[in-house]
Amino acid sequence: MNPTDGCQRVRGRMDELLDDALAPVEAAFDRGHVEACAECARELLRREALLDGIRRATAPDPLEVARAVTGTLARLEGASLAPPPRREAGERRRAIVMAVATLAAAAVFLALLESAGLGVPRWSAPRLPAWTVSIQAGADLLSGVGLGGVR
Amino acid sequence: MDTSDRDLIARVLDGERERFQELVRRHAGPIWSTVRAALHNAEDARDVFQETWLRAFERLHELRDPSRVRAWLVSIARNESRARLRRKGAFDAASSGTEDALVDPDAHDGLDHLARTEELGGLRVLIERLPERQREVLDLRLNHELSHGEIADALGITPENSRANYYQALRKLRAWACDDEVTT
Repeated sequence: MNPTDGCQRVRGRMDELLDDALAPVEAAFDRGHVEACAECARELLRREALLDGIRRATAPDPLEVARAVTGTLARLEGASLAPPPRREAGERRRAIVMAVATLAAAAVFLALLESAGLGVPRWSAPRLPAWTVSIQAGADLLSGVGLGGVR
Repeated sequence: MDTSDRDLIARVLDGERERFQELVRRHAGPIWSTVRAALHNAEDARDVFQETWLRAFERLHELRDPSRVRAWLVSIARNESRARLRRKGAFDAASSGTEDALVDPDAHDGLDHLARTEELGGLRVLIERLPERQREVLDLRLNHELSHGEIADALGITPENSRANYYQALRKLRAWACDDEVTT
């Protein structure tokens, strides 16, 4: 590679070099070239000067910024702002909405099953065992002979 | 800085409202640049700057990545600026030009005219000739040191698009500066 090709290659990506956008190997190669090449070194300085000039030409006026900040802080101070909703509160709200939605979906599903005649068996009270009936009969008997209230 | 932004935001969300002021002071520069560049009128810019921070306070809990708060704030500032322009009926006039349309220097206040006589005035005039998007990228990259990823978040573009706008702006400025040297 002759020096002219090297210069073209380095100048072709000099903005990227100054923008820290080159891979380390490429950046090291270009920096090495610039150290050895007076023309490219001059070009690098010109581009750095342009960046510096743009910064100075477009930098916000510190006095204007300070004035805007002061006004904003005063307005924030005076405004009756509610504190921003906490993230946890949002998550709780989402959980409640999800739970309600799940219950509603389950109710709709059961209603559909019912209407299709596929309803789940309803709960019914279990039949009492025979011995409980005997206890009741005994209590009635005692009550009949004037010994009520024993139960 | 990312950690302290994250910490600051967590504290504000935990109820330490006064901590929000630190956030305002810390990120005032790029927000001011954004509204000032969009509105050109200092009084409107101050108003929209305040509205941006009020909106940011209200929506702070929506910020998903606190390390990108600066880009998030810039995007709010842009939206607020556009809303103001729209309300003033100037939005169409300000944004209907194509990307490469030249900015009308007469649309700005007297400061720009004065700038021509300053040391950096020539460069300011050249920068004003850049498309709005390229000026925004230059400002966010050079004055506020946002990465191209953050600029992409702020402007709703891709990082590649941010880089392309940035390098294209620099190429144009160099070319125009050479033309000026030749013609003067």
